[in-house]
Amino acid sequence: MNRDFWTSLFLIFLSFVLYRESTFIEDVDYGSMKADVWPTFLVMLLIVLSISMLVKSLMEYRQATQSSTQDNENAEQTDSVTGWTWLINPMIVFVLFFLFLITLDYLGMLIGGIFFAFMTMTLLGQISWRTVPIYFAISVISISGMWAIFTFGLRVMLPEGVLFTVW
Amino acid sequence: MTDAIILAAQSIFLDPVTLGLIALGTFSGLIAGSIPGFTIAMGVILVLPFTFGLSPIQGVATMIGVFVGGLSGGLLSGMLIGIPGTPSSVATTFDGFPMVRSGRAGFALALGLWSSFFGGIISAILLVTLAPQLAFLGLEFGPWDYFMLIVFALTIAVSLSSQNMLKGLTAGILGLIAATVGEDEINGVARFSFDTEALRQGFAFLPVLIGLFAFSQLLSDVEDRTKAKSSMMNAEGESVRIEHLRAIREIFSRWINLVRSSLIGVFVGILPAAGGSISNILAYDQAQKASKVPEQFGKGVSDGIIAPEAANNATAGGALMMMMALGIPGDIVTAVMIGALMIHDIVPGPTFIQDKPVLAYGVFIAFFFANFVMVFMMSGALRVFLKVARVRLNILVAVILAYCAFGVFALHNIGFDLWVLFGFGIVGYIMKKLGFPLAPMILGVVLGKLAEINLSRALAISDDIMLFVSRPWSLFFFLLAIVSVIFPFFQQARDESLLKRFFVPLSLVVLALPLFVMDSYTRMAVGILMIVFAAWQLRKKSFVPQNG
Repeated sequence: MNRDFWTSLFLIFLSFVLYRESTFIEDVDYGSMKADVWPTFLVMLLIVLSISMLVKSLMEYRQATQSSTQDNENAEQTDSVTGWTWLINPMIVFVLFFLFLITLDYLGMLIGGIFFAFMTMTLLGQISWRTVPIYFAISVISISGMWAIFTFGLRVMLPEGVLFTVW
Repeated sequence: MTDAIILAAQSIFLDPVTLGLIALGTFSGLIAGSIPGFTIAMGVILVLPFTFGLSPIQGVATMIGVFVGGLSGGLLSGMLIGIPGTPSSVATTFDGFPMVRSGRAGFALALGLWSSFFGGIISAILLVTLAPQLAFLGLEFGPWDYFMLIVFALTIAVSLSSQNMLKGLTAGILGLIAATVGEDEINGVARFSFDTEALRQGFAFLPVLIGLFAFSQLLSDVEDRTKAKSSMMNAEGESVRIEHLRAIREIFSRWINLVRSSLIGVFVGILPAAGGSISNILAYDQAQKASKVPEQFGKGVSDGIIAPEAANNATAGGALMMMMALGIPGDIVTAVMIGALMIHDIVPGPTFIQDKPVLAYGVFIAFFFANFVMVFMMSGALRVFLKVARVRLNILVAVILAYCAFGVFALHNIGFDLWVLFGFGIVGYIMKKLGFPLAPMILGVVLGKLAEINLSRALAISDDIMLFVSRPWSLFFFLLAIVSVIFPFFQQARDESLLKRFFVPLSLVVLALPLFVMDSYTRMAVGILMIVFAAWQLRKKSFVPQNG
């Protein structure tokens, strides 16, 4: 099955979850349009579009299987096995950002930000004795500079954490 | 009105801080626009948090500076290394790069610079003259008309930004659904909150927008592990003397191309979600068709630089016009600007120019001024560009994402916004990988609440749903929406097909009909002109097969 097939299945599942949730919207009558009308209408549209996408993907799959040769299928399989390396860097960034968020209450924006920037630069870039200290210096300078502008210039109370407090 | 203009001019020209901010914004835009992969929207997003502490006019003026600078900055990398800095300068590369390679770098850069300037000035003049008229029209809109305008905005965004209509529509609907999460503004009832306190407050618009856009953009850039370790481009430092006077003379000698391209830019800018990425290619295409030497295009001709650069800068005026007159974002940049204005409790719409004349005229003046600043800053930007372009991608991505987090937190000082940023970052990245366009989703998030409020108002006044298609303006927007849905099929149709032959004339006739029911002789005259033009088109096309 192709990518759109699984996408449409997920969207149909999401639509039903949202539809079920829309039935829990409180029914108040203030003489205006009820709160569930617009979201329910949108969810219905999403269901129609998702089913259309499912049908389209099945038709495309059918056409593709009729026209493709065994060699092409083998090639596709090979591609799908080796074709996941592009996901490594985005996954690294997402995981690091997630870590940044869950440690925010402890590390704060300054230390957490420096840690996030340094780790992202290091894991995405070239790791060597020369580059790592440079990445560390860039992280400290850029993040603490920005932190100082927000904290002292714009008077924004950024999350402090428990290790380093200003306010 | 005169008082408002004078006050607006004073608030900009007599305030060194505002002048400095426009200059800084323009310079930042020039740099942001010149770096391939680093779009104008990203530049505006990064500047956004710094505008929170500024007055509305200072904040918007800064962002306008980034916008204007970014539209012009794209030509630097496009011409010097053949990689367009932004999608708005793709067509500039076609002739700019060959011209630079042929040893005319100074002339090529000057042509691009001054075409950008004149395109910007033409669109600024149109902005000043047409935005109040458009707003005046907007005052005629009832909730039915406004709702249908939003429907049209979403359909045109889908048809222009996506090859796949189904995916575009789905993205738009997902955006509208995202806007419904939290307490609804009409009844105060929680929706899609899944019994969690965090979701009860809903998603703030800017973290959603930044998450969708910044993550998908930056992470797509670093997917290639080798590219992630290298700089965006290996720009060689070379000294270039920009030939200003020669370029100005050349542009004036080709003024028809300049004016036509600028008008194309303004028109595309007015269309929601259609930005410089479309206008520059459209203008280039028209310039080539109108040229006496079309075969020379792509080899380094002046018209091939004038057209895209004038068009992409003119797009800004069109987008600002739509934002200020009707409150509909012309592109992602103006969507961010609407968000920035909302932070100051200012909601652009038909009454915006009347209610906030000083701010509105301030925007006009800032747009004018930013174009002049851009000309003066180009040489300096060229030098900085050559340095910044050597920064490695892994460093840029890390620092920019951290800055996004700082900026998003500063919006409301709540940690939940950071989770929204992260969540929509994942959503945006996955959607991009699955081939869903993000522009309709962003527009859906921006316009979702407005659509619902107008729908509710309309139904409160009358439960006759036929009013959504029977009032002149709502019918006009409804027909426009249908035309925009059919438009992608027209683009893909073969030359000899019926759709290709009859789509434009039929659309014109159909769109002219509501104009006749409007109570205005001018609009009737426009309607007659549209029908005459449609008849001329039909006649022209009917002769083609006979001649062929």
